[in-house]
Amino acid sequence: MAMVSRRKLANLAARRIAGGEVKASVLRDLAAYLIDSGRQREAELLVRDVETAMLKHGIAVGTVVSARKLSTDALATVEGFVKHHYKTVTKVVLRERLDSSVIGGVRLELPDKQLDATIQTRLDKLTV
Amino acid sequence: MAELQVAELSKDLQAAIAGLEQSEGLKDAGVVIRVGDGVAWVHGLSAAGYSEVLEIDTKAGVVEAFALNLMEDEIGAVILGDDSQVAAGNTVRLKGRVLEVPVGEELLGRVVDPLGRPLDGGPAIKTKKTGRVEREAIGVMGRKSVHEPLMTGITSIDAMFPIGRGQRELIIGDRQTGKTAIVLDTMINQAKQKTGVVNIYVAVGQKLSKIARLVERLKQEGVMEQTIVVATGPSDPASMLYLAPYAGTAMGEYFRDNKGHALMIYDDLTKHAVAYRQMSLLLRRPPGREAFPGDVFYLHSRLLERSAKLSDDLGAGSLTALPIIETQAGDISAYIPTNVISITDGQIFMETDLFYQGIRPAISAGLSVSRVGGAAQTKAVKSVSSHLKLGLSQFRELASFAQFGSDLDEATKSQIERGQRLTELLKQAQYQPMGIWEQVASIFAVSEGYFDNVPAAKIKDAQAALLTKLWTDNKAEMRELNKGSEKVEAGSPSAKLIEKAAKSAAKGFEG
Repeated sequence: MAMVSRRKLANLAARRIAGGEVKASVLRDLAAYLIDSGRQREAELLVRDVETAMLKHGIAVGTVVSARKLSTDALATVEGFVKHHYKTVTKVVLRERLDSSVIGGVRLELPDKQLDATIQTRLDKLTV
Repeated sequence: MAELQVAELSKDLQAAIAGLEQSEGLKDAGVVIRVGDGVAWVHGLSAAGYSEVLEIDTKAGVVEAFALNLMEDEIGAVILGDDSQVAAGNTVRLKGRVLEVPVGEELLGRVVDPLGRPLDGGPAIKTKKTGRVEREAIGVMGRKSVHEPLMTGITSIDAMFPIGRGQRELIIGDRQTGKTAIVLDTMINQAKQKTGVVNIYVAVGQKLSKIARLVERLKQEGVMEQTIVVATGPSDPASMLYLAPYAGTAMGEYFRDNKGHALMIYDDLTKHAVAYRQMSLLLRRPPGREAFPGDVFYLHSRLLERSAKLSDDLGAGSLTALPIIETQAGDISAYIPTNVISITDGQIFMETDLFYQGIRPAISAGLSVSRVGGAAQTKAVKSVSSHLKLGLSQFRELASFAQFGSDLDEATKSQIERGQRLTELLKQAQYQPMGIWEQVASIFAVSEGYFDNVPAAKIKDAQAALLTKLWTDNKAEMRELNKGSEKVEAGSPSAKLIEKAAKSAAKGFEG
């Protein structure tokens, strides 16, 4: 059996999720395929690919990294920024991650892009 | 107080978030998924272009790499420099441009690595311009046929296999047959004859001690001021060895494109192909003949095609290439040698047997060729050397028959004796390139038979006497002859001078 690329698998999964199928069922199918083809190690990468593919269906999934918990207003600003950048995105799902090493500001990690507005990066640039 | 600080920080944070759109904005980003042997595999960055520079954020700072494998699910990138800092999970960003190196006159006299960083302990190199490492070769209309000579100062090459500015002439032979010696003499000759040609010596995986010796010699000879050395050693990553010839060429193109003339020396392309094979195998590209990847021909053809003589509209600059290939046991039909032979405009084949017979430079008259030929020869040299190659080839054939000890007729004997004298004449000590007048006078004296009574063993002494006499008595005429524009044939003023001096010089050495 020819190996199906991750990108194709991800596109298929994204289409099914965007089409309203139950997420658990899609994920179960993906997991079954990965186990069957011995590609369990690609699971994490496949999730990233699915997140990238979801952008085409108007859903942006991202992670916001900050030194302290962001307020609802701040998160709404980030959400607005994502929608502003991706005109076709109608829904933004943001995961929050706290990391004191960023010192201040935020880093927004989207599937294929990144916005680094952290103090840490600015300081790093200053030292270069 | 604490509340105030929190409020301030919160305000800062709000401002930072509000100012998101004023920051650098969203940038393409990927992540390292695995790394090893100088190759990083990157997830994401679907917009990356071939040979585009990537920046990998590591704990120790930014490490650069360049994308070579653009696959459906991931990118294979070759790390430039130390890969020990790169780890899975590191963020990777696109730099938005292909690899560039500093170019310009500021590099003259310096020893640099393939990224243009100094290796000679000198000050940082600040150039006004950069040049793309990978660049398309100039098109047909931007070129002109090769017609100006690039004198190597080695009589046997300049007389039998002339090299023109813009030509690609391969130097091929086994190890320790004098390949580097030829290019070193050619570089020295550019300074000695004040040709204005800039030398760019690219050492691909050469022993650092050898490079150091070469640089020292270039300094001693006063050539370093018009030379750039791009150095990579055996312990450098394969990526650096792969880049070195392209980086050197980018530096040479600066001079070519600014109406100048540059000489590229790639020492050697065998090691370059091996480095590329290593990279390709690590990038999981399918191996072909001798485990080289399918595009190993393109690796060298796109490099050597950048050497050209530009048209007058483009400034008439030139980039000449002397690539070196090391053969195994004289096998020129191996994969890489045949590839490069077919790309270049001729080859100079160094023979191990000749080298150990003491015939140095050990150039094989039969297997060497210059496809540009007489078009890149001065009138003076052309006029005296037209039958040289044929005569020498015939001599070597006759000499092999003469070994059987059979009786030879007078004509054959004299041809063999003349050949022996020619062979002796074409022996040349290292670091002593000769000017046009010296070459012309020497060849003319032997081929016209003025040294026929001088035993072969004393030919070099007779030649030295001839040159000393000519220079002492006729400086102005020899300077004029050195321009190469005058034909030297029986009855011409220069021929008369040489005849007189040769007859006088021969007297002291007749056996």
